[in-house]
Amino acid sequence: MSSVEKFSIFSFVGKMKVLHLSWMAFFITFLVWFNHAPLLQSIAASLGLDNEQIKTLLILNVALTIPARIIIGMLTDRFGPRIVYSGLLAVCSIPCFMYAMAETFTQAAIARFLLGFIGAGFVIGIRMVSEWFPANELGTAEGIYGGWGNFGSAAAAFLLPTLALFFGGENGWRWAVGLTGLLSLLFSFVYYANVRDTPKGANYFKPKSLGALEITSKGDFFLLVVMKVPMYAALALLAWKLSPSGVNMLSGTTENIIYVCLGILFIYDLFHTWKVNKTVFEKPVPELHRYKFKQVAVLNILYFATFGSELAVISMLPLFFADTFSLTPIVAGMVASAYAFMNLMSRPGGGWISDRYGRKPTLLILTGGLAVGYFAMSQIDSQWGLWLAVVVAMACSFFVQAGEGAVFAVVPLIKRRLTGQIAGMTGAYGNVGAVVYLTVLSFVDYSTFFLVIAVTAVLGFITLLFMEEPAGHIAEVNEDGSVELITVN
Amino acid sequence: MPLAVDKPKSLQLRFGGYSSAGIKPENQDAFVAHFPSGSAGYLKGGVACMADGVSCSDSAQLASQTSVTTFVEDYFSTPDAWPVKTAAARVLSSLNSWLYQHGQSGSARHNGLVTTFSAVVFKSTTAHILHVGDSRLYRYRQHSTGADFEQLSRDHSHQQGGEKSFLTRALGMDSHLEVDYQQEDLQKGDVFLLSTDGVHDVLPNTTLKSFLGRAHELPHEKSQQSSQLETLCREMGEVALARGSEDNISCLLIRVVELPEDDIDEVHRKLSQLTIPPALEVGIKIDAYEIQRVLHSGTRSHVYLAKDLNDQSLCVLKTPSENYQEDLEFLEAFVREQWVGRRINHPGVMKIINHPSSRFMYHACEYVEGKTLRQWIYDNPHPSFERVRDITTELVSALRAFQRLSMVHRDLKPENVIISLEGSVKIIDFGTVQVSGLDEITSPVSESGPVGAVDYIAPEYLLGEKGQHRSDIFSIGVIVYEMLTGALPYQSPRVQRASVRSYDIWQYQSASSQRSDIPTWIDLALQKATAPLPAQRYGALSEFLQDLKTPNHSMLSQLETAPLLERDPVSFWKLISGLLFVCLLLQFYFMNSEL
Repeated sequence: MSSVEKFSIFSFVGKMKVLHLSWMAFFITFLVWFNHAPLLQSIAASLGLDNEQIKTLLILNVALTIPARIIIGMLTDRFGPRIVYSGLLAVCSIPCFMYAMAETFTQAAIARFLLGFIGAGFVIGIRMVSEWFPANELGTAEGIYGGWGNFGSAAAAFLLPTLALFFGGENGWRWAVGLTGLLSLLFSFVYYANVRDTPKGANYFKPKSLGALEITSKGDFFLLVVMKVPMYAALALLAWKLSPSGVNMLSGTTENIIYVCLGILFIYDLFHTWKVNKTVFEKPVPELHRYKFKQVAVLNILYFATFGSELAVISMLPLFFADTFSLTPIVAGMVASAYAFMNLMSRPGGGWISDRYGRKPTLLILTGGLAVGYFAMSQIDSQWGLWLAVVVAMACSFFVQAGEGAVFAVVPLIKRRLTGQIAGMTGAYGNVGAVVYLTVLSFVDYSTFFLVIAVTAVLGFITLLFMEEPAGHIAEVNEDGSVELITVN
Repeated sequence: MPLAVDKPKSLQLRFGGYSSAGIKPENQDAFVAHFPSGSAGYLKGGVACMADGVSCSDSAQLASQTSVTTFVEDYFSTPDAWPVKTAAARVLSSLNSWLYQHGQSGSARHNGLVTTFSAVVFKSTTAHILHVGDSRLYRYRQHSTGADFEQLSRDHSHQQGGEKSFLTRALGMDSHLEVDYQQEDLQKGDVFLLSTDGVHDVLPNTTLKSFLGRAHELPHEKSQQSSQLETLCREMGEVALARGSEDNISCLLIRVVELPEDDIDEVHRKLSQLTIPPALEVGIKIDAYEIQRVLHSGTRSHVYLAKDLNDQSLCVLKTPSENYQEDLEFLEAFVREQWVGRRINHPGVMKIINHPSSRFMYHACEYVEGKTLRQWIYDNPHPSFERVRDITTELVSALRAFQRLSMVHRDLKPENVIISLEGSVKIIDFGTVQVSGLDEITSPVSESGPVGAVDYIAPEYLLGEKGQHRSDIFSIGVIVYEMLTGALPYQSPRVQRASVRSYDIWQYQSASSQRSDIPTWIDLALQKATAPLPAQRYGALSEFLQDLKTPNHSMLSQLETAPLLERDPVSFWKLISGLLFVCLLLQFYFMNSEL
């Protein structure tokens, strides 16, 4: 029989090679997705953007990701992760080049809107990693994938301003952005040539994807419907923001057409959900298949506050530091990267802590921590020392990212069979959070923006009280090395 | 087909019978009813049978009694994996041969050992009916609107001159036997009656129906039912005698008291009584085993080399992955693997050891030192035909062990075959084995899709058909192709997620194009073994082996005489296109020259 592969970070063969290449792919998607954030000052200068338009660009960047996640999920079901990831990297280099060459606000806005697609790369890699790693290593593997990949935004904040300066001139930022697009295009070939969808000999058929999320009681059906509303509301909010009542990028007619389309989509979605779930109104679901949807709802809200705020904050943080402390773009970028830098440790760390100390207590502490953290960030002003502001940002980001890790440590425990769909919905809420926070930012100053996040974190904390600790019998290994059944609570 | 045995709602039957010589000196009728408890009853069901020795035969009593007792004994001795039809057919045909042989020889030359025979096998929710001769089977079924009374068997007799009737078919009458076989769904409360002509010739259907109706109405105290059924039968016999029956009088009532119920929660409770162990590390003890080495750790299962601390012997432990703790289909397949492994005893199939009962779900298997066939293919990129033939022969021999038990493996691939250090071949994985005998048992758990690996799966699975022996031949064909060439005969990965509608997407790539020293006749044998349409494939493993060893001249000559279109469609169309191109050029040339 073949010998087994060890889980070794420094190995670059077999499943470890797939993991490394996948986090690199994810890293690049994040690099491209947030390549604008640290360069905003020079972009604004070069295209002649006002403050309002800059903030609109930030929102546009995260909007398309909400529906894109669903499309990317379906494509991955159909064609497998290898080809979809390679395709996404290659295709999304086009709007990246478009952005690099944009001459007007509208061109930049369209490119930025299309770049929202690359933000959906996360789900592909999660699928890939789950095909390659056994259950006991999956948590760590996905922590590395998610954490190290997210680090891409820190790399963007750190590197791109320097790169832009290196190329120099008013168009330096264009070269820097274009280079990330080129990297994405090249890596798509590297990825395609070097990974397989499944380990050799484990190429089995996948059951057809179920589409709509299954729920298992009448009450949960209505809760699910309620939880779907924000996803459409976020897109409607964006349309409103772009309408004449906002930045006047879309005409009133277009705005109305978008509302109608969103309405139709929502009804279609509801119809589909009804079709999959109507049996719960006829007869009770067997006990085996039952789960409580409120658990999902709580995780969604927590992810809204954690990942949503992270996406929003890494978009605006370089600008925030530059404005508040009057820094050069390079220094502002480096200082801001401190926030995303924490990803390397804190996201996997969050999973690890909740494995050790229980899911709910961990989440409570982390959510409380991030509320305090954002409150502290709302107090930052030019009177503070820069180093103190950086420490506060890093401390806050630890709670945010560890919270993300802890949320995803609970996801597989709710209902193993539906893990993919629950993860998908939770992830979508992260993007909804980003759209909402960035829209808020377009109306208020930085301090209020952080305060709003702190308040939603408190709300998350309250909903968390309703969550039940996932329970069940699992087997554990005793200290004397024998296996025994224990009850976890 | 849950292998959990004592479900609270399992099939329950009550029997009661009566037999008397009537006005005749000797009773030549015989009946037996048997419903074993525990797993035998679950896997094989209950049997009721009735035989009426043919009166002109001196040994009529011997014939009828032997038939019923032998049938029941032998039926329960057939492999658990066999479907009822296979098992009953085997038993009846050997019984028939015995009766026929003994009837032909010895003193009873003219009389023979001849008997009618009717039997019902009650398994899960189905009645399997076997019938030959003129004893009868009736069924009484209550509906919401009333009751049905129906004769399920058809008399095999011929009325001559209006008076005496002669049997046209019976057990022991001829060396060749045709038995009527049919399946009927069971309903709770059904009452069956097996009777001989001494009863049904004199009692009209209305009388029989009223007796069965009374059997149906019997109170539910289960302990009393059998004796009450017996009383009813005795009464029926006495009425028949009073009506002037001139023959032996026998009747047997069977009442279906309870049917097994498909309850998914119940199946889950059963399957999850055993806990899936977490991923284990070297040195950890589970029951009496100590992990020595991790052999495989995947998304579906973990495999360890372990030491049995009782006798220090080495064995292999296999545990399912925690990913599947809610997946009944997977868990059941895992339990079934153990069931299958313990029933196959063949040097080419890995043995599953009977480990002491445990709270954990795992198999202990014999440890086979060696490498997988996959590794062997990597290590031997250019193997000799001789070695490939040897491996194939052993593989085929191991597969026959499955075939003999009416099992289809469904997931044969190089990863599931081990070449031991001595060079012998062993099949190591049977989680996907389809067992006909288990398929007959209703279950709330059903398979959601094809179970085999994409590159080796027979096309018919993807079109939604059930596995058959030929499907395994396809996989063997692909494996042999791969051993010889290192490549696959079909480009299949693209079918993994796409739905398949026709066999056309499988286009065979000739093995000689991958490896030039492969002769045409081997290529033809591989093509036939891996034909996408099951009907065009080899029907038997032996034919395939034969064609791998010696050139099959009829297939070769077919190829030579076949039109180019069939032999080499690509060249054919290239040729046609080339000709068309030349025509086009000529046309162009002449058109221009005219201008």
